[in-house]
Amino acid sequence: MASALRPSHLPEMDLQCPTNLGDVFRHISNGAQLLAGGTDILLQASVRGEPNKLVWTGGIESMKEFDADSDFIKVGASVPLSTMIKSNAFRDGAPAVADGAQSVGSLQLRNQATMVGNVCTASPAADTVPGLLIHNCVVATIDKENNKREIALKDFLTGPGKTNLGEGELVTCLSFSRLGKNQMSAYQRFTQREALDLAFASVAARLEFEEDGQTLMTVNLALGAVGPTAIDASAAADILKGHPISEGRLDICADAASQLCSPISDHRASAGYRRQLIRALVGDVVRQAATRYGNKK
Amino acid sequence: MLDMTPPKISTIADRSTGRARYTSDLVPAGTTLVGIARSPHAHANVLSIDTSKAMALPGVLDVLTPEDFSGVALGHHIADEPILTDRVRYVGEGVAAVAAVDEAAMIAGIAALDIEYEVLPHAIRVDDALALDRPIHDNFPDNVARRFAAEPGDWDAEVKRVTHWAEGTFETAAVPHAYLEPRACLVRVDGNELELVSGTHAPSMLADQYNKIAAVWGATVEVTTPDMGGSFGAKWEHPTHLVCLSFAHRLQRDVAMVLPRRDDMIAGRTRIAMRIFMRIGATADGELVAKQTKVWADNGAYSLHGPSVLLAASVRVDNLYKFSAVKAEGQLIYTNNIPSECFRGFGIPQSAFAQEQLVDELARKLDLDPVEMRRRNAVGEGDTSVHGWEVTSCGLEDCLDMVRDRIQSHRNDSGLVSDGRFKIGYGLAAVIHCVSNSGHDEATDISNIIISVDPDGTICVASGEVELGAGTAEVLQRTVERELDIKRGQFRFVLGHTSTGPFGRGSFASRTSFFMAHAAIAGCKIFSENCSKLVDDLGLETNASIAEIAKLAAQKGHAESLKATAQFIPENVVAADDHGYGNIASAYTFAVHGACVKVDTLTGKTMIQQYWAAHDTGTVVNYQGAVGQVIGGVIQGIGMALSETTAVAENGQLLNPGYLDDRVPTFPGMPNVDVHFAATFDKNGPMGAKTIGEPPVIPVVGCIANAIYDAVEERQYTLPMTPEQVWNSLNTKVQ
Ligand SMILES: Cc1cc2nc3c(=O)[nH]c(=O)nc-3n(C[C@H](O)[C@H](O)[C@H](O)COP(=O)(O)OP(=O)(O)OC[C@H]3O[C@@H](n4cnc5c(N)ncnc54)[C@H](O)[C@@H]3O)c2cc1C
Repeated sequence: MASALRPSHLPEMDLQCPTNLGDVFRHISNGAQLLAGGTDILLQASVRGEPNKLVWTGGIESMKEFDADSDFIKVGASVPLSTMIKSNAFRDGAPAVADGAQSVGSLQLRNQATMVGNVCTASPAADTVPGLLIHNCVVATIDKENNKREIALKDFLTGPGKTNLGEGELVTCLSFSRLGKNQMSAYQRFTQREALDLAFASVAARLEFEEDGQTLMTVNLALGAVGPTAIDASAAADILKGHPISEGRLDICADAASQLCSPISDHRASAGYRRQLIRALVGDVVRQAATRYGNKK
Repeated sequence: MLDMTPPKISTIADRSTGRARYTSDLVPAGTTLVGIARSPHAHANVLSIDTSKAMALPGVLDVLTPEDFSGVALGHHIADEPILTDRVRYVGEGVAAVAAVDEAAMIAGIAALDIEYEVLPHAIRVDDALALDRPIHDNFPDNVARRFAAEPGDWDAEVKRVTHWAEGTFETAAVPHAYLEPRACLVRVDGNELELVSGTHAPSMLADQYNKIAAVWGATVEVTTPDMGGSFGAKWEHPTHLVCLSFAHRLQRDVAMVLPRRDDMIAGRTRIAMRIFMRIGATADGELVAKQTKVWADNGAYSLHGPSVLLAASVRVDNLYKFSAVKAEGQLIYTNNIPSECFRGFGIPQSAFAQEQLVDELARKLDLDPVEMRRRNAVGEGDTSVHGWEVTSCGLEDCLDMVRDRIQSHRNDSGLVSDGRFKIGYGLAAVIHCVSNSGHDEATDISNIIISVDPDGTICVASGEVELGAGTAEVLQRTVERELDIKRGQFRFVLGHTSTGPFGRGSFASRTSFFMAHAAIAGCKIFSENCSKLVDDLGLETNASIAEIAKLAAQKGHAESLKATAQFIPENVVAADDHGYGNIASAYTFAVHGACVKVDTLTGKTMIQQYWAAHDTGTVVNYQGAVGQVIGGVIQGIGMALSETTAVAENGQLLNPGYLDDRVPTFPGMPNVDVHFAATFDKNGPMGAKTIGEPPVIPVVGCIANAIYDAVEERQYTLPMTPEQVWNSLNTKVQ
């Protein structure tokens, strides 16, 4: 153990702000880490004293791309969450992702924080991840040899704080599917405080209805903050398929979802309580998505 | 010579528009920075400190170790806190200090220290501390820093009249003070003159203490308190002040230290966590007769104000009701937690949490309305309470009426009703509080004022109290404007400045407005008389204004003869005896709070729908300020009630050193707070005023607990009443 705790001042920083990818990779090979909005990494640096070499992605033109109108919504690595939230096409096209983006921190924070940053931090409680999972998010990456990969988000996230990004590889953008016909999605999280808090548990749901607008055809569920990474819990929703939404079936689905997760106990919440929150949230989110769908029709 | 210009006193407008200048704003670029090497262990002997590598680093100017402060300790009641310690008693305690030319060098200097520890068994819970075979302070072998006991009334006789008891064991949490401005200090030096610039409750008392210590170095210390971003009971004497004073004197350089939030919390202070066993006995017709209290208070590593908080928590809430007999005992127990400290309410929110729930429970058992229960049993004007408090004015009845009426209309009009999942509940709680605690420290519970005239004719009003950001300056301004019929601009203030202001006890204990305004009124009277005497000599009309007289007096060299000094010392107050008995204050205040909550039975989450706060403060001198104090206190209380705590790992490390995990309330989610003031006038108060200060935070926890019970019929015994805890309380019943 060290002789003394490190004072939590930010370390002295070497900050680079290049305008082309080549320079970004050059700085990475010199030991720099990527900086998007900085709302995760600067906090980390003040606690640990590192990283103290950063390279900012905000100067790279291609990373500012944000296309919310296509079938696949595409967001570059330096787009702030608040820019996304302002877009109707985004909110209509991926309501669960928008709900997640909207719940991050505070307005000032969302003006700064990016979705790629949220994904790459790989916190089990990251608010945009469950929505992205049920919207079939794909992560696009590039490395210094110009090799490009497209990885499904569920494979990209490998554990708390862990992704399968290789050495010197970076994320260029995320793409995720727009809602199709007869579909609706929603995301909710449970926090103790209404603002500036982290989810103890969260649930995203995407519903697809039959033509009658009542009978559920498919249901996708993703659970956050109750496992090493967000969890695809669509299997728990089988019971809902082929029927209109009923409280009885929702209860069974909520129970099944709570059994699928593997929460930890920590100073924020116990594992048992997190399971209970999943139970409560599954019903709330499915009902909210159904109500939204009803209102849209 | 140091420039001893007093700091500018900001108004509420300055503070809300960013014009106020806090200590960190006053630190010039390039100032030598001080950092503290904090222990990673909860309990350890420091065997050796090798400073040589640190001293050899470029940019490191000096290192201090425990030896540099041997024999020096701080503490209001028990001098037990070292400046730098060779016996670590909590994670984050300062072992050594580094002064360096910049932050990077300071951090590198700390990292280069070689400190060898002998780790000792530690205790973070009071039960473990009581069982610890190795005491935390060698001169307190059982780890009990202070014991308290009181037993007024004939217990055995009175208990025979009791037909119904309510009892419970309650646990409260070590809530951080959550001031916005982290601890900061700047020390200016010239030879043996030192000026400590830092926010504190009590600059004069700090200067007293520090001068005794600095005398050994041949130095003198003045204390200046600039704009302050809150304290709530946390900012008093502090080891870091002495570290900075010492560095400045040794190096003959100005030095500064501004703590990052995280470090401020790790090495901070907290509200004293308590376990309270309490039982209250009543007769079948609803008379509260007897009350027993046992308090186990977690002192943390050092005592600070702990002993007097222990006393307050053990008996002060008793004074609200006309108990015939009381039996109270308390222990203040050393642990290896962050030192706990007084915090707005001074231990009383903790015991009010227990008492107001038990009174509620008795009302239910006896089928009495909770308002009626309190009305029948509360003390009133002319009464002397069970611990000797003499009530000279009481607006409790008005407060009860206000809250009862508001709750009634809300029940009728809000449309809120319980359904299967969401339960609605209403609760209320009452409080009595004292204006200062004069008896505790009779010799210095005074307030001084000096009114003088500057060379340019500006009237200077200097008080020894300080502006914590709570509106003290506004109260002083109104008092002076009223008494001298002058306007801001024609006078200036000095507050919190020991070199040019008089001695003051400081701003705390709900005493400031009462004491300062009394002194100011007396001072203004003398000043007016002095002005009248001078009118003829100056050749002015007898109806000349004070401002005119002062101006001319300055021009003609007569300013000195206008100077007025006055002092307020409360009358008819005594020091409480060892058992807490005595009329300790000139006036007592009352309040009743009410809340409507909605509880989600699936998650246990409590959502406060509406809040009512009715206060008897005597004459309201500064309405905007008073409303602000009430709303702020309620929100602070809501944090204590529902979400705030320190999470400590088994090894003693703080797990939530920041406001993300120490859930101080944010505005979203806060209820509307409907504030009322009872129309009372206290003959002992300046202009009939009593106080606002602490009372707004006191009843909140009990009030919300009662509302939760009303909603879900489960008593809440532990703070904070987090969703998980409430959910657990609902589900142990089911299983
Ligand atoms: C007060 C506060 C409140 C918060 N509240 C929430 C909340 O409610 N919900 C929530 O989910 N989060 C919250 N966060 C966490 C944080 O704001 C989010 O995770 C945010 O989305 C991170 O984005 P960023 O752009 O700031 O990331 P940065 O901090 O810039 O980066 C995050 C990580 O991603 C890496 N990175 C950045 N760009 C790339 C890239 N192109 N390729 C590969 N790696 C990259 C960085 O190196 C770093 O490791 C909060 C943070 C704070 C300080």
